[in-house]
Amino acid sequence: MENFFNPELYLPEITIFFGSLLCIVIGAFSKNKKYSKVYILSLFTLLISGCFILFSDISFEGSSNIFVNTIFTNIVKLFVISISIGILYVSHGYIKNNKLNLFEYPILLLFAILGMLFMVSANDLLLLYVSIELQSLSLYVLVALNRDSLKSSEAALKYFILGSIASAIILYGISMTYSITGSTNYEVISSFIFDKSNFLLSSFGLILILSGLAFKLSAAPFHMWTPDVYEGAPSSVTTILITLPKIVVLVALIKLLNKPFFFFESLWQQIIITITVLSMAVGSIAALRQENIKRLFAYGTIANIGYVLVGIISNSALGLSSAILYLVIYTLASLGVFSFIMMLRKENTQILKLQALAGFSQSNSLAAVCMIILLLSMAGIPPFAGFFAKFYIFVSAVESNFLFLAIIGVIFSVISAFYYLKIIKIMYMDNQDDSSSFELDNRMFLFLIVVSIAMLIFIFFANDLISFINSLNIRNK
Amino acid sequence: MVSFPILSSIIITPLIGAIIALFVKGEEKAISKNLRELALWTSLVELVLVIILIIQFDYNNSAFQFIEKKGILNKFSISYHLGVDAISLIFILLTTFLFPFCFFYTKLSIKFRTREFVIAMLFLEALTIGVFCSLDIVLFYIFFESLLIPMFLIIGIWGGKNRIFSSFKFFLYTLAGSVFFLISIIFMAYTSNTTSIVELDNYYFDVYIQKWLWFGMFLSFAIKVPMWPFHTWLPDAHVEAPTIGSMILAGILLKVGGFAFLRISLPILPEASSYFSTFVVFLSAIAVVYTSLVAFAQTDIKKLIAYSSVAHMGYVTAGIFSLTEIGIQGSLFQMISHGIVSAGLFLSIGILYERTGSRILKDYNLLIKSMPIFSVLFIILVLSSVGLPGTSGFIGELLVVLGIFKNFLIFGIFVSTGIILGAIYMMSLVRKIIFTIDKDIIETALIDLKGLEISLMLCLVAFTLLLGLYPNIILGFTEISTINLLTNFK
Repeated sequence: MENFFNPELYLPEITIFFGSLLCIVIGAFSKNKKYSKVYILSLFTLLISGCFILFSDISFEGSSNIFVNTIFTNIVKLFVISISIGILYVSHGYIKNNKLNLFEYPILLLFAILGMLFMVSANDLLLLYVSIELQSLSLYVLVALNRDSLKSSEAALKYFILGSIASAIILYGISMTYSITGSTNYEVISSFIFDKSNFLLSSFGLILILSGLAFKLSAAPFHMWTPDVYEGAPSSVTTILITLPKIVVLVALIKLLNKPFFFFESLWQQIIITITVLSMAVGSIAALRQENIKRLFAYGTIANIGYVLVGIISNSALGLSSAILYLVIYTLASLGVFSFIMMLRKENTQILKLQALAGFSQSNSLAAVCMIILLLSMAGIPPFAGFFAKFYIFVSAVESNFLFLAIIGVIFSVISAFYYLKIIKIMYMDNQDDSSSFELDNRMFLFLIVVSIAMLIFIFFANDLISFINSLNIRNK
Repeated sequence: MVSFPILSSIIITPLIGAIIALFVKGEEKAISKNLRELALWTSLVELVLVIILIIQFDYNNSAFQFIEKKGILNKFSISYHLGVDAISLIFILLTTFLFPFCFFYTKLSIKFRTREFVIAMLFLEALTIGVFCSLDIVLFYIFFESLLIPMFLIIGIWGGKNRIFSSFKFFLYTLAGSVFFLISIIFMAYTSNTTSIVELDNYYFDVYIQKWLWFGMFLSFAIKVPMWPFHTWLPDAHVEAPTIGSMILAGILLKVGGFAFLRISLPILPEASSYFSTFVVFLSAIAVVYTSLVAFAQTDIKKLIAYSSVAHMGYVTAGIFSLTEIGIQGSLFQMISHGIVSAGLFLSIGILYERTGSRILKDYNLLIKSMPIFSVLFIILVLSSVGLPGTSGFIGELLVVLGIFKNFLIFGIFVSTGIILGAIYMMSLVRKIIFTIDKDIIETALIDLKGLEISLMLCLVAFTLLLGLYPNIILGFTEISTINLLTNFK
């Protein structure tokens, strides 16, 4: 308890908190160029906060009762912050082009990141809940950023209502767990002795919390909101939705399952197996007939979350690190894909129809080659990064005697290869309908190239990255 | 010279060519000419490298040679592990031998987007050689599967009318098989904790596990070969692929499946291989008879040749799983011979297609009159395809049938009927397009072969005859490796 007010523990979070307050003040009181000022300030805030993690002792491990820092959480936070810097950097052109340059955008993102950082470190169910809410509420508003667009507002409303229900369900689950164990703290719950008399109620608590988190992860069967929200939200916000919350919720899930609910391992394994299989099935099959790029990748996300969860089910050191590896590669690839989507403009309008990409390779061969690499990587075709991600996931499944999950996984990866190929087909094999050319933004293009090179040469660095992830000691037992 | 990484340089050379191709600039016509020259020279350099490799190779030694090893992943100590024995060497030779032909022919066949085509082809060459060289099973898989990407693009971009359907069918069908191979690999690596093919050869898997592993791999390889009933992607792919794509597909990519049986299934899983051998020979016998009958019913020449490919690959799988030295030697020979002959046949169809834009049997008659040189060369290729003594096809089929008769008498009878059936449909093809005079149709007056076409076809025909007359070039070369392959079975 004596550590509770140790500021060193919260340094990155405090930075972001005060940075975002400062941003609000600047945004509210400055006369002109509100967006640019806030944008630059928020980038600085994130940079400083990242530097605090990087240059203070990264292996600094400290904890208060409800807030635990380990190497693993530090690295995850660093990753989250760098990804969000990347998103802010890349989406700049998109925001400008679509006249979304409201100063609220960076501020809300900062608040969401604040929630995420707390979530990663949370060691208490209530802190977990509060941080999920902080993140979600900011994201609800972000989805509605384009307030003049009917779709954006509809998506935000849908996201808000369903998301609130999910949060309420999590809270309900927490209250059930509390009623049995008398505490919300992870350590206390994990040392609590469950027996037959309280097993049913506490497993209900677990199931409710799991369902709520599965909603946030957009894992089937809690995925219904995903395509609509991803489609309706501005692409820069979709980029945020598709990457950051997935990372942190997954990390929170890993901690939750391994600490307070470790006793229920056989139970939650069953539940997550169902979720995994459904996610892979829904994600792969429903994406087949999508005509809208964002909807397609929304379903792609659902399938990918399914693969990540396979790593969590096996719950071995290898399983968890392969899940993290998959998540890292998936996040990078999604960033690349979404910078591509944000880049697609013709005659001052964003392109969202797949068919509009016809003949893309002839006019922009470099971007098309980058997309081939990204898409094949997502489809898990060697020698690209995505193959190694899937390979490790399947290895972990086989080693933990979940051979059938590996088999189901490979079958759905063949099915999902179809829609990735479909995009390649449209870009390379269809003929262009009209003569207007794409206006490509330099930042996004650069980002696309960097990401696809990373996917291409991953094979040379795979070993180092994997040993690094292994050294993080994710389970922290 | 020993430490020089010659296998790596053989794999990398086409990639370097592909990278240079990215930067070729100039006027449009000059670009495509330069690109073609670049690709051609790259493939010729490649051929020279492989010939150096063969000269250096010690074929009295059955162990893998020119070994290179470098770790990729710590898990299962997956490594970049290359090495060749005589079996892989003849496939490498076949690959590097066929690619220059394709690049020579590019000028006539590929009319647009030459840059992408050349790059895809060079990648294809590098990856194929990678498959034949790799001694690590994960590395093998990486090469094996990434082959699909350039081939998918070649069919999909430069193919015929229905190219998109065919390219998707090709990709997804093959991928669906490959993923089971991946599961088998993971399970094998998990059980034995190694992925090196050399070490796996000496590792003993439980017979029950062997059977499952074998089956997972079989799905993948059988689709690649392709064996009946997994062959349906091949006719589609062939019909739609550009001529060069068909030549590579029939000439080299089909051999990857057969090679995989020899390199992985047989040595690593010997008990399962002999357990399933009857099954495979049975499927192959069906393939030979059934696809010959199907080929007889085709009206599209390219489809006919495609089905004949399936039938010929039936001999290959039957020979491999006869598990006799003579059978395996026969299938190796048959693969090489088929590589050359089918490339030649698809080249001939391509030449006809260039002239008329049609692949339908009925559109051609009495070619002997208008295209005498073509007709002669085509007939020799057809005769080789049906296994006339003196041509390369004869040796392969004969050895395979002898091998099957040793172990499986009844299937041997079936497979040998296939030889006659093959003669029936190929000869009727020749009769219909070269000799028939149909009074209703005006005879097709076509220009005979030009300089480049003559030399390409003549060269292929010459090699067919050479192999038919001196089969020991190959048989003597691979003998020791084949005997070594069968040591696990005694």
